Amino acid sequence: MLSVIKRNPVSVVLALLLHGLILFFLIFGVDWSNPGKPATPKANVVQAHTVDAKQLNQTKEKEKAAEREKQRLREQEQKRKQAEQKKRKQQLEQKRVAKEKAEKKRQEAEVKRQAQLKKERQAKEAKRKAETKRKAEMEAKRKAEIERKQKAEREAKRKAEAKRKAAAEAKRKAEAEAAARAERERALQEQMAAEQNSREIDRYVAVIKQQVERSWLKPGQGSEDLSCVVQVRLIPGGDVVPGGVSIIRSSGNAAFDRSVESAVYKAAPLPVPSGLLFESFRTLKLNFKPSK
Amino acid sequence: MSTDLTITHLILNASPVVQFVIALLVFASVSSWSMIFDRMRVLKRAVRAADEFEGRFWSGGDLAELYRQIERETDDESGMASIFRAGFREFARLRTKGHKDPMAMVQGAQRSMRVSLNREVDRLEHHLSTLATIGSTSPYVGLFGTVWGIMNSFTALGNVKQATLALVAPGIAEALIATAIGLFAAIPAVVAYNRYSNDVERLNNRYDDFVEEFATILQRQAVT
Repeated sequence: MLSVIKRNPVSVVLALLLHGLILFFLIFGVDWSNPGKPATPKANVVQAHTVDAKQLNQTKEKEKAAEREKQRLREQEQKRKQAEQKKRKQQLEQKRVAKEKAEKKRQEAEVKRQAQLKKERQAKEAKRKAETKRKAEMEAKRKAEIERKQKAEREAKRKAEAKRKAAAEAKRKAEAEAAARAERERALQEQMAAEQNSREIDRYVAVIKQQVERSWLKPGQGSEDLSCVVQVRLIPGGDVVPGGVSIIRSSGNAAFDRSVESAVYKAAPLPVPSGLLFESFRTLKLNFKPSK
Repeated sequence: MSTDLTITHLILNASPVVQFVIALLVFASVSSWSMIFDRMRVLKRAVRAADEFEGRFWSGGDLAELYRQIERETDDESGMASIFRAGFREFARLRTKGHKDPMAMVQGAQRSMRVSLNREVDRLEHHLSTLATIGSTSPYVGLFGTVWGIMNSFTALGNVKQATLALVAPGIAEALIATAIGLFAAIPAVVAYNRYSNDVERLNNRYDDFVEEFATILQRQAVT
């Protein structure tokens, strides 16, 4: 660097100049973006020039004449204006009168219209009233009709109900009667059947007794006035259930009791009826008494 | 902190380290530009002198006459002229000393020309290395300034609860100026370095060629 300065100072100066320039642009270049101040307005400049007196007078005369002329013109103008104004006023007045007339007419028409309207309204009102009356009457009629109908209906219903009830009652009575009769008949029949059954049972019991007595070895002497009741359990077909023989009422003599027991076993199968009647023989009570 | 972000304001508000870096870079920029202008002049002059001398040399005049003329022009002996003078002087001296071997005379002259050529090239290349240094290092220097500035600005940011852009932006902006200036110094330096080293190379080649040609001529003279 030093050698450059010594040997060639111009280049150093150039370099410094360049940097200075760049710096300048950097610093002031930033401000360029701001808008510049507006220029101050220029002062008004008076234009002056010389004039001579004669000319001035002449010009004054001229000006005066011009002024007079102007005055005249102005007066004329004023007159014209006044006339015009008058005319305008008159016109305005006419217009006003016409307007008032029109207004009056309009008002009258309005009143008429109002009256008409009122009439119409009244007519309408009356009509409306009549209508409502008619409607109310109709309504009442309709209601009465409905009521009547309902009443009739109710009556009919009630009657029908009574009829139905009576019929039902009669039916019930008849049924009850029939039932009672049937019951009676059935009872009778039952009684008859029972009677028949018992007869039948008695017959069978007698046969069974006979069969048992046939196989009964009576214990001999001293047992003539003894008796015992034995219960036997049977199965359909007449066989005795094993162990199904029991003494209900003992005779007091054990040998007699045992003999009866063995006789029952020996006599099996006992002659029993089949079917419904057997039910009476499932448990059979037999009273033994050595008859002979 | 003010929000004025003009460049002067930023530079004046920067931390001392950044300011120092900026000053260094400005100095580097100024010196690099000085060297650029200096080299521009020197190289231009060298090229012009080379052209002029080649014209004179190949005009077909007497070499001794040419030598005398050049001796008389005692301004700074630049470029080819000084090479020619060194070679011719050595050749003449050897001849007057009574050397009979033409090869030895030519070789002596060639050596002396080579020395002169080296000196010339060295003179032309002077400062180019400095340009290269500025070109390669000033971005780093600028970056250093920037990093330092941003570091400071973030340290300041750590002390506040609410970080706003307005708080960091000025610091970063002033830090970035250092990089900008570094690049500003580096770019012209690199461009100029490439340009001038190329120019010097070409001049060097021309000198080389001239040395060879002149040696050939001297050899011819020595043999006859």
